Amino acid sequence: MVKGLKYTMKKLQILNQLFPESVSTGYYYPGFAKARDVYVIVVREREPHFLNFLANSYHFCFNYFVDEYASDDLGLSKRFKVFLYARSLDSEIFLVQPLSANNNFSVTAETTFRGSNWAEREIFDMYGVYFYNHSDLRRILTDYGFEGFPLRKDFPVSGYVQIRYDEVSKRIVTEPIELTQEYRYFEFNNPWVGKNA
Amino acid sequence: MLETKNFNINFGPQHPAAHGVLRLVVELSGESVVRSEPHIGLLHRGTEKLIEYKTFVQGLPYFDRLDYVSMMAQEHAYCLAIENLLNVSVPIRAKYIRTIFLEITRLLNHLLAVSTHALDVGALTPFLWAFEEREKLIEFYERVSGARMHAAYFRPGGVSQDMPAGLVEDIFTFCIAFSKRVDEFEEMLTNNRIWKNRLIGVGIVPAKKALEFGFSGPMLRGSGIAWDLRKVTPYEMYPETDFSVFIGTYGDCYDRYLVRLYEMRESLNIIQQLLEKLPEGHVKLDDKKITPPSRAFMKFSMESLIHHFKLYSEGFSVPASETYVSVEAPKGEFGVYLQANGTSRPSRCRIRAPGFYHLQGLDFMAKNHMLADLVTIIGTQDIVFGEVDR
Repeated sequence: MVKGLKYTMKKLQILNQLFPESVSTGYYYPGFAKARDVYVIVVREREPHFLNFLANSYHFCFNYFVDEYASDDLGLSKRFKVFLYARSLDSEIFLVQPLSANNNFSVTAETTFRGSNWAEREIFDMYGVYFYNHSDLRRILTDYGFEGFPLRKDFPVSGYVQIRYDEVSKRIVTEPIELTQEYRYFEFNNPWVGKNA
Repeated sequence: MLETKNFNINFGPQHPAAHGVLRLVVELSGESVVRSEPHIGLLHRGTEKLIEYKTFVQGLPYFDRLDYVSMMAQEHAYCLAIENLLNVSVPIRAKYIRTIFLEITRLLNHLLAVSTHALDVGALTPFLWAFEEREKLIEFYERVSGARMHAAYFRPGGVSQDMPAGLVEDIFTFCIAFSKRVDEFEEMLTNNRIWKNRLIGVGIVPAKKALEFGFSGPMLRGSGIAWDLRKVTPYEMYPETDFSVFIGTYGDCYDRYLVRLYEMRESLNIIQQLLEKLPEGHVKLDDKKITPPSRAFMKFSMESLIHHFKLYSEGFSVPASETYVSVEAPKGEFGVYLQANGTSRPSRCRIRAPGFYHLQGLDFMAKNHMLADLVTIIGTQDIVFGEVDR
């Protein structure tokens, strides 16, 4: 089933020629799944017609939506990465779109992969990355009225607020968090392993 | 003619048929569902964030608590991801034990799925039968790991300890007896008139829609797509095992029920095949920089003591790299994207829960059905909120 490096590189070249404004680099990355061909493509923009081509064209046919998620590398100029993972019958594709902190806008994949609706809501909820043309970009996992983007690296693990039921006012109140003990975060920088080790 | 307005109701979050904490805003026209909008996140614990603050091994028990009826399948995905990053493979006996317990987990999950589905629809008896069997399976969990549910049994590099004496025989005896129980389920449900009336033609998922919504597992196979990650990206002992993948025809709730039932039989088949061939040997990797030494060794070996201390305080470091591993969990494709930055903690751990994407399809599945069918559809999706909300 695996067609190998030569084949996938050729296909990536075609993609590069067809969509020079979308695809910035494509490379073959065997680390994701061993039994199937995996394409990992770094994209500048996720244009709807580009996604549509990937999903529906004869040569690619990545029509099985699997996952969409993001990651945050604090300190990099392109801080966020939005991953889109789709499948065809014999191979898998990852579209990686790096985004900077002040230009954290992507384009929704919803028009092609309906399942990405909630995934993008989650990314928005957790990272504050926005998606153009998204039909319903609301928070999904956090509480109603939650503020901040919890999966960002500069968001503390204990959060900012705590919620309790107030017996006096007979309602739920939100107040700044109060911990009897600080979160204990141990730095395990091994002194024996230097940079050259 | 009187003007009529659609009626909005809240379904849940404290409703027994909502399978947990699902708040569903349902717009009804008469008794049929016009729109159903799930509000999730009531069980959101920030698992992904918490894992970033734990070492690789400390992050493992969080996976038991995601989908709390298929515990080991999720530990397994996480362990595979770490093993992938470390570029190690586990000993053959560990692979066998893992596969046996993955299938036991599948039985555990499908027993709950089918029986609570029946309970939602109105049949109480299968529920009672299934939980008796689940109890026996949970006992196997307990005997092998010490915990009934949250086992934390699979570890990076193998499993935490070997199976105790006599367990193999007991699992085998269970398998023989259990195939009769599945027959009883079939007798009770498969040809039951009420069951068929409630399930056939309800919640139809066309194959194309299943694909673009990211459905997986029985939800995808019920729609007629023969997609099973155990076959497509073989892992552990599945390539050496002989089993078949069942698919439905119409993609309705009844097809998915049948798929689950046949998968239970197939799991028994797999377990029996593996028990017969179970080899002797190590159950964890013999690399003391990854797996902890045995307690006995620590009593007289200084090296072991140091290894133990370092592994349980600092943990092992994983080279900077990233991986995406998905396994066929009982509910569908469970994926873990793991990003390591060279330290002993992951810098990002994305959990792809099958239920999250299934629940998203609830709106189109329940459209134009009766309110009572909505419950059937939630049941057939086999939703567990631990994994949907993470």
